Amino acid sequence: MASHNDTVFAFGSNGSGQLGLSHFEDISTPEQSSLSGCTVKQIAAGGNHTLMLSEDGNVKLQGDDGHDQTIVRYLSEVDWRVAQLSATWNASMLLLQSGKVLVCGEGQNGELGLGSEISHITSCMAHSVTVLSNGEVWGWGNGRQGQLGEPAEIVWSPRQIQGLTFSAAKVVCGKDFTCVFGNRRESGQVAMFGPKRDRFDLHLNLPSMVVPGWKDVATSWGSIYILRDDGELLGFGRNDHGQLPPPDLPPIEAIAAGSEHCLALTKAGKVLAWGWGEHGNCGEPTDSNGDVKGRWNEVEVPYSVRAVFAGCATSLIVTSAHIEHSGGQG
Amino acid sequence: MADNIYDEIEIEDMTYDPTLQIYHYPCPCGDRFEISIDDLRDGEEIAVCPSCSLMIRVVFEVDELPKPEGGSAVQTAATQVVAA
Ligand SMILES: [Zn+2]
Repeated sequence: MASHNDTVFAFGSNGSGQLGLSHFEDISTPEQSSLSGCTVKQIAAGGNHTLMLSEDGNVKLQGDDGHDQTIVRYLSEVDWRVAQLSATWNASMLLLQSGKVLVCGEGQNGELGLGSEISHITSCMAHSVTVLSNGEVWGWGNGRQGQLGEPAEIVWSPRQIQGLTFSAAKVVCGKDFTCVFGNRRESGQVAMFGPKRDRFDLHLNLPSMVVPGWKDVATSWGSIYILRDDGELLGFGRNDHGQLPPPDLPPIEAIAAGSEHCLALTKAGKVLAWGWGEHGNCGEPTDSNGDVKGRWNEVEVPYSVRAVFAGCATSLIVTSAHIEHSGGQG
Repeated sequence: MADNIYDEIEIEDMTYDPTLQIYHYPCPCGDRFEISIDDLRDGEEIAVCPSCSLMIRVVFEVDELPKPEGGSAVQTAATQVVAA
């Protein structure tokens, strides 16, 4: 592209320096602006700020920055190749060549299009769900089992899950369902979305199992776990590999659900594991099917345990040990 | 045997790999259940995971599978079915 350097002349209102001059006076005779010096593709203006897009995709800004509407100047080191600009009174919109939109500035009436802040996010095999600060639940991904509400279909961009009658506090996802919990201190509200084909009677068992005063909730691909404040662990759903809590568990401090197994950190600091353990993820022993069913294994590590996590036939124990690490793998 | 059927999955929910000529679907072990399109055409309905003992039953109609290479007008229609 044959590039040349344009020179921009500006005049008019300039109380915030939006004309890019060396002063803040209004003028009626055009003066050379600092927006000069590149090939201009577009200029857009807000209430008191001006944005200029050059042919090579860079953006220059002048004027009021009281609402961070020109904060994009700090992002200029990143390769935000910009295709087009626009501005509201106190905000700037940058359409990137990638098709994404970068926004900055003030959005008291939704100008930034960002919605509420996201307070919680979770995912399972093929869908993700967020809880917003206003209690709404939005999700995307595979919703063919109704896990993203109606209509049950693949959802390509975030969509609000309709039909929720309370403000969500936490949400957990199984492979084919989403389970939304209300404030844990109050009435113990809960709502299930999906699965349409409910092979493990999640809908049937849910109402009687949910209690106020839950401490944490978790899901495997087909089971739901509810940890109560007093350390009792409830569970319902899929149990063909012993995924549900075995009887007579000691008081539990924290839980982690993998795809088809569960880890628990007891109040006494021990790690227990049960469920589908074919890959060793529930420790030893397992039965001939690779399951730890109706019982648990205690998994020992030589340090004080801080937390447990679990994945697809994987188990992770976080300890507070300080050990010299030999650096990452190359 | 039936105990090892982890799930029943509609073929629309599986991913088709045209290079390997297989349908696949995630397994909770981290690998994936697989079945070749030829096996499906032969009426086989169990997809297995190479890394664990779990398997799934594929829900499908043989008539609605993409037709083998070599068809002409028919093949075009079948390809659209896969993409849908
Ligand atoms: Zn597997």
